[in-house]
Amino acid sequence: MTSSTETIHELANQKYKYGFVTDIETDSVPAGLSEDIIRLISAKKQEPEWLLEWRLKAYRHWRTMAEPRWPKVDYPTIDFDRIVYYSAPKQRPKLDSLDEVDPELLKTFEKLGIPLEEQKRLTGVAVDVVFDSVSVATSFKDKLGELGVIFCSMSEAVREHPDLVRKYLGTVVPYTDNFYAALNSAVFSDGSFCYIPKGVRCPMELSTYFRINAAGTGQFERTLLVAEDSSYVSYLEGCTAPQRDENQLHAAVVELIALDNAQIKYSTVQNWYPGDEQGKGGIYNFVTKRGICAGVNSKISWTQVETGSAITWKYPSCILKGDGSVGEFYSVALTNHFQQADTGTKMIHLGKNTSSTIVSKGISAGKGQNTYRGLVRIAKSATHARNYTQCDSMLIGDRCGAHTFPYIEVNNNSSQVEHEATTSKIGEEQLFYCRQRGLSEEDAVSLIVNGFCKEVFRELPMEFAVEAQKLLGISLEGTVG
Amino acid sequence: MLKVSNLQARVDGKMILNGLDLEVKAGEVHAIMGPNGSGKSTFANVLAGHEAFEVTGGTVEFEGKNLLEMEPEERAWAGIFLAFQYPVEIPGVGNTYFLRMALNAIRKARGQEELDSVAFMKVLREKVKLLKLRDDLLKRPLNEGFSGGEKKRNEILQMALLEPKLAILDETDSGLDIDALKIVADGVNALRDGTRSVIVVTHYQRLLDYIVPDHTHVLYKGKIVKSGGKELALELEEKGYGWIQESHAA
Amino acid sequence: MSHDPIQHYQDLCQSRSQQKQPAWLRAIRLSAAARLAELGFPTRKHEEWKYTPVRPLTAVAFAQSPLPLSLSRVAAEDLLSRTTQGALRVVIGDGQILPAISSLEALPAGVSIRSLREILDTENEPDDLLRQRFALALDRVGDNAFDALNLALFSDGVVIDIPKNTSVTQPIEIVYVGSCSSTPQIGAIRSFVSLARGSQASIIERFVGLSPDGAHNPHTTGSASTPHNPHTTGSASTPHNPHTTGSAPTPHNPHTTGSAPTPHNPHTTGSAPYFTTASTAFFVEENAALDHYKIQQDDPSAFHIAWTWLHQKSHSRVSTFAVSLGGKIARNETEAALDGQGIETTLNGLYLVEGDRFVDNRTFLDHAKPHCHSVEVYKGILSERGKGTFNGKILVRQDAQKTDAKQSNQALLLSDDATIYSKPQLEIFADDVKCTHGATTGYLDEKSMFYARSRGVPEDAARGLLTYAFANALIEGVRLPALQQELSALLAQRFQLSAMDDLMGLLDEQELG
Repeated sequence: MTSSTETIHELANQKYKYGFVTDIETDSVPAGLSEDIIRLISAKKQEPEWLLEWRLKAYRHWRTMAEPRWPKVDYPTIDFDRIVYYSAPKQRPKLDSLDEVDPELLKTFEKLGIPLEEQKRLTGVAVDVVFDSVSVATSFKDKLGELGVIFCSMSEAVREHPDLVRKYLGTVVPYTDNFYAALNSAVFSDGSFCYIPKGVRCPMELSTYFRINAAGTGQFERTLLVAEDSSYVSYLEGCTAPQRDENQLHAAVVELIALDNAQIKYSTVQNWYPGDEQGKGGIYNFVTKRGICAGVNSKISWTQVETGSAITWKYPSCILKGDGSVGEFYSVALTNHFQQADTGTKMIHLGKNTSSTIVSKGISAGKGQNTYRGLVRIAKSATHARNYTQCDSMLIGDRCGAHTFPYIEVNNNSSQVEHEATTSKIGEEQLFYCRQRGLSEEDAVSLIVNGFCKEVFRELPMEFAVEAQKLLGISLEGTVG
Repeated sequence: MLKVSNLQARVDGKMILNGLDLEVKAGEVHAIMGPNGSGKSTFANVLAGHEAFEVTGGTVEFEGKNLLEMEPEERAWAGIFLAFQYPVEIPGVGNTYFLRMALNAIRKARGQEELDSVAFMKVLREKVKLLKLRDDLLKRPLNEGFSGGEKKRNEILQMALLEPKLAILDETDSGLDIDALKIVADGVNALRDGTRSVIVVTHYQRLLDYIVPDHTHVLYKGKIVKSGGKELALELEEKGYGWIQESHAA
Repeated sequence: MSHDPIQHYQDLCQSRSQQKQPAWLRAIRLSAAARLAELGFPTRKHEEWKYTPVRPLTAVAFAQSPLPLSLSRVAAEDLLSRTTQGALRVVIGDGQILPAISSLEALPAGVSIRSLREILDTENEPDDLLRQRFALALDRVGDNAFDALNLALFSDGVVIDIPKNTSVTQPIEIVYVGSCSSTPQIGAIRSFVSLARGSQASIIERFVGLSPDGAHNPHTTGSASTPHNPHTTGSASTPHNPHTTGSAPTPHNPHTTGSAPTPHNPHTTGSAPYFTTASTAFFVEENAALDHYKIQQDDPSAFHIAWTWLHQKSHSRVSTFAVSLGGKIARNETEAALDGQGIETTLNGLYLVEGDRFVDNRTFLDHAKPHCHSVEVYKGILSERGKGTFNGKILVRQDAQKTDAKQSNQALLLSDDATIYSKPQLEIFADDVKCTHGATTGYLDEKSMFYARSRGVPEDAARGLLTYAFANALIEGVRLPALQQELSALLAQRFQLSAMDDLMGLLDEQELG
């Protein structure tokens, strides 16, 4: 390697500071997918028979399905036989406390800024960490336990709370839902499980941190969150991955269930490795997220900041079944270099007096392609439903694209739906004004973009909002000049 | 401080400034007057470095440095402040947040320590009080939904805070009632300390009752065609611009 | 009805291709038919047809009559009373031009209006331009099965040429008549309108139905023996063609008075639905201006699929207004290609849907060059079990800097059983642009309702008033006074308004307050 390429490499590394690889021994299954592999994964996880059966049904169904090609994203065909569907850090058989976690692993999380111990106690965030395919550590379990809150890895939930898992798993996103949800159902290796009992207001933010480390691995986690009557929970997830030249697949499923008067706030800062400036490498982020407001006056609020991944394909959605239920979707998606994002939401209004709000901010820079795709469906039964959608795109540079594909279906006459979308370039006058006041062009861009995204950022919990702003700044580097 | 020689500039291919000469010494207040379309705003924007205005000839020196080579923010760091005729609205960006960001950027560029929130708010409140502004201006997004008068007052607040060496007021008086005009004038006068300079670009003499200029210039067809003291402004007010146009045409 | 629609249309195309025509056209027809066979008819899985029920249309074995439509005098008079007063007129019945009731006497010098069929029948090699335009049409079929069908089967059309710097002051109206007869008829028409540099014209396309009830037709029981069988492929051997003489469609035809000698008479026994498919391409050259109206008033049982293609060059101006009032299933497609700088385009639409009707609006605006401006406003009023769609896309290509594009779809649902599907889309590849779209769906503004009622207007009347006002905002933009009055009256009648002026005043007052 010449010194100049080294420098470039270093620079690139600086920009994506989570790009390191952890040298840790893993326990993996052979690449490729078959019923045997699924049996093997299930056996490794000592799962009950019903779950294995469910996985196999999902697998058989997946075999009949075709990869979706309708999103406005472009990528080579994925060879599903070359993916390793299970990879776990090798560790001692049983983990009683964090002290027993592989020190290499703890170092990784420190680098990522996720100290699992004392610091988190101070900030009051309970963290579950998913490393490659399995959950390695969950903090604060005891304290949450006193309130009856269950927050643990999915594997543990399957062992310790099989009835709850069996009752809710796949009820919001059935394995027949779509290609990637079917795949996930067949091979999901871990994820987080969270249960908030009746009337409990979860006193701290629950957080999962996802990390893909091993090469050639897909990550297929599954998150299930149940909020019983009149409960409240705020849940955060963050994601990073090492820099690799190959594309890696992340196909997660998240299911949320809100019962009567329950509220779930789900926030994501997605910073998977986006690939390099030439578009090489990066994560394919094909995720199915859906919540059901099953109870009356329940509320689900999705907030996402998507700055990472080579390709993002996800539509966090709400099924508003309970009368008076509320769905919200706040999204910032930024694509720079060769990133592509096709993201949005679905608001399915079934109950009476349901309402939904969609605020989507898309920023395209470099050769990034950013698509908002959304569905608002007002069923005949959803009398007096309301939706407000605002979808704004900002273009920075003349090689990028911003696209808006909303679908609006209204089946009764007592509902009101409003959709507004704008596309504009970053204002030259705004830039000049900021620069006249002494800001550098890059700071000015970052400032204006942050202002553009404000409505979304203010929905994020404090620490995440700060993180999101920084991320946006980093992701925008090199967009001007 | 500022030396403009034979400055020529165009917009959209049309020549607006045709050899403008002006020298401003430290501590001086210059009024530039002229009819509509004479090039007043162009001149103000060229000094601040607006890219839509293409400089095709001449030089501008600011404290011995070639101003025309500097980026807009570098000019701000060097101490140039333009109070815009039409301040832009930037939705989602808080006014106070923006003020701090600008102040700290300038302080940093000048090698001064950046102010933390507490220190900044102290400074800001002083200025707000000084200018008799309402607090709620600070809580709102930058210029968004501001009335015309509020926008102009906000410009003056920014000027007071950033303490420029050379302030350029581009038709800051247009559309202001007499109270607002006084606030603007107070802000400018507070800045005058014998070292700071001001260029007041205006169509009317009214503002000059409150900001008394040392020199008055008449800009016509992109050139300064007449210079004098403060009495020239009064003369213009009385006789109108037709007088200049006629005498110039003659 | 168990028939294979694709095979059915292949058969129709076969017989169509056996008729006299230039070889290249035959080839184009056969290619289009092959394309149709390859594509099949769209289903709901097809993104552009996601909401449109196609099966009711493909289930019917429409026939293509080789004979022109014959009209009684009364029917003809009734028909003409429904056209725009003071317009130059071409009438097309079930796919063939009816010179007898067309009226083109006052054509300005240089302006030509010809029958496509005559051009293609009488000249072996018509001008290259027409040939090029057909090649373009074939190219453009893409995956649009119905466009392929139209191209394979079209039986006639209108070719209008407006020469350079010519301003046609009288509007030109093309009237498409579909007849409900015992056999379901398809009328497939393809027209080309060219506005040369600096020219100006107003074109109305009006689609009407002739229903078999006595109102329009005294001949209800008459000639039941009418040999009207399109399935006999051999029918080419009865070449009954009144248009062969070549002279432009001046009234030279004996069919007016109802004593039709070889009638293709619609008014027999049944009342099968008809299917009109019309494709009209407008070529608007530099600095030309087109004012276009599409008034779609088909019979409530009819099927309607039609395209308005707009090809615009630099500094041209096009304003089109599609009013959709009829048809069981009606699809209006408008595509505008803005291929030049400084173009202005207005695409407006109004659709009123009641009963069990389905109206499908699809628009596509292609901004290819810088400094163009487009505005698009569609409004829908849906009542009873009516269903409507709006599928509008704006594409801004990379070169189209400084594009200013606005799109809006507003729908009012007046009944709980009505449905609207709205899909406004932006696809933007240039950064220095201003594009917005908005879609609203709902009911009447409560504050306005309250205001009107607090002034003593009964609730129903207030609703009618506000609904009228909602639609009339677009009608007010109609620049042809006769057409504007007609549409305005039609709306007032639809929403049962009488003393409208007073009430409109009240609303203005509210705005002032």
